Amino acid sequence: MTPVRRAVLQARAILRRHGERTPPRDYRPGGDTRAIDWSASARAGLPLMRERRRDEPLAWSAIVDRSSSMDVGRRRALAVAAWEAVHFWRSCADAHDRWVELPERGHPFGLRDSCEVALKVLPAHAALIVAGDFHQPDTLAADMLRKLAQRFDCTALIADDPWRHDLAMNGFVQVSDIESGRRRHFFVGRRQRARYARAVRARLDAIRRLLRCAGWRASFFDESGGTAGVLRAFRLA
Amino acid sequence: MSFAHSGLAILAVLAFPAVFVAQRTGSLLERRAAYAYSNLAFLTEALRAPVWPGVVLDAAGAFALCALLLAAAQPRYYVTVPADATLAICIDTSGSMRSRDVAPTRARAALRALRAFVTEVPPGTRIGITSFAGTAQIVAFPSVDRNAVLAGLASVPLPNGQTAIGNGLRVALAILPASGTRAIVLVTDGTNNRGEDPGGVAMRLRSWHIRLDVIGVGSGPLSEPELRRYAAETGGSYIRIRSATELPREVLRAAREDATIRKPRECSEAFVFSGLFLLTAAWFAAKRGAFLL
Repeated sequence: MTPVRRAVLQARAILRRHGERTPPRDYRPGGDTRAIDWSASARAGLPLMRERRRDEPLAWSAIVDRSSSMDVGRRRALAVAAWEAVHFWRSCADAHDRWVELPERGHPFGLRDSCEVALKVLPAHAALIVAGDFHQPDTLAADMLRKLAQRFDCTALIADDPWRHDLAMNGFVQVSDIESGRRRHFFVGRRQRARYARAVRARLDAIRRLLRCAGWRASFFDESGGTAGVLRAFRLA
Repeated sequence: MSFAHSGLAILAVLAFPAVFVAQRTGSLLERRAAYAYSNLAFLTEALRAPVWPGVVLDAAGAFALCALLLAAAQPRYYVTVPADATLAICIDTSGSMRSRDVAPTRARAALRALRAFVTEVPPGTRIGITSFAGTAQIVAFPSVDRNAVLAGLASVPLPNGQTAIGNGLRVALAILPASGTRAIVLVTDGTNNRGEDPGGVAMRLRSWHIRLDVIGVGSGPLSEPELRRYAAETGGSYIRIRSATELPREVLRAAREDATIRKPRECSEAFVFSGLFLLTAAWFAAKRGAFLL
């Protein structure tokens, strides 16, 4: 068995364990205390119980950031690595599982919109992965993230900044925003590069903290490949 | 500074703000050479980048285009160069020049100022001296030898007699050459009361393109309107001096004006070079960081 195949099976097993759960119901006095879902109770603020239900197909879904901000990279675009992660994610699904890609092809991408659609169309306990650069974390409010995490098994793959360790600019440079086309001149020296590295680290840490606080599984991926990011998220790498 | 094509120069000056604004809004020069970045707002915040690099580059581009347009307008500046000039100093030695309202006397103060004048006139300028009272006489013929001219000033007759300004001007005119830059510096304290009419001589000076500078000395009666008119007719100036301290300064000014000419020099090359330099620098800077790599 190849390492990737083994990882697929392990990831699937992890998600199945999560997916087997039914929606928690209120704890009734006298009920089996071993069946209390402590994490769900902590999130909801009242004791909740879970019931196990097997043999149901699992719904898998992926939200991939299709905005042009993912088209950057040193050797190849981050979007390619993101799609690689999604393919790996999809390969974890069984033949009888359901697969939902968000947003549907041809539809304009919006992270918040896609998450709202996921809340509407995905069944509870679906395995949801979101791969993107999370450049506008404010569009994903903490309450939305929490709602998603309560309903689904959520994994976030955050695109690492390709220039995090070495901003490939020097002297007077003109930079254009890949989405808006807006341009601006900068002077980039050693001090600015160090400042940039610190800011990127702080941003990525803040996003990861936000996601983890909301109950998400969070990991990073870079342009070298998205599969490694998924494996890291499940602590399989 | 002046321009051969002033319309083009005005256009260049007006073009600067237009090009600058176009640069700021659309970046005319560097549309292709830019790094693509996923989030410009984040980069700006992360680098804590000041605005000046963009402003400097855009201004450099606008300046470059403006300079090239100005070069096409053929800019010229003026330099003062010694003229191949002959000056005739015409000194009034009438009796009134003995007056002491200008210390020690008008005549001695004038001679002292003229000595300074002779030493200050650019080398190569020929200076001759004539004097007049009731009649006029040549004291020194025009010469580039300053010592000879200073010796001539030492032999100017003592003040005595009437004032024949016309005669003095005619004798001064006689010692001037037939061509070249020529001027007469008349130093007088009175009104013409003898001999030839100075107005007639001034007309002749005008027709021969000889400049007449008049220095009126002292606070006594002076035919100021006439003297001013004579000077104005020939393109010269009239100066009234009432104290000994004023005299050398004004005489020197007259000397410089008479002995030098302003020549235009074209400086299009400087504008072309500066425009091309700025354009090249802006282009290099706008390329992908090539400026300091």
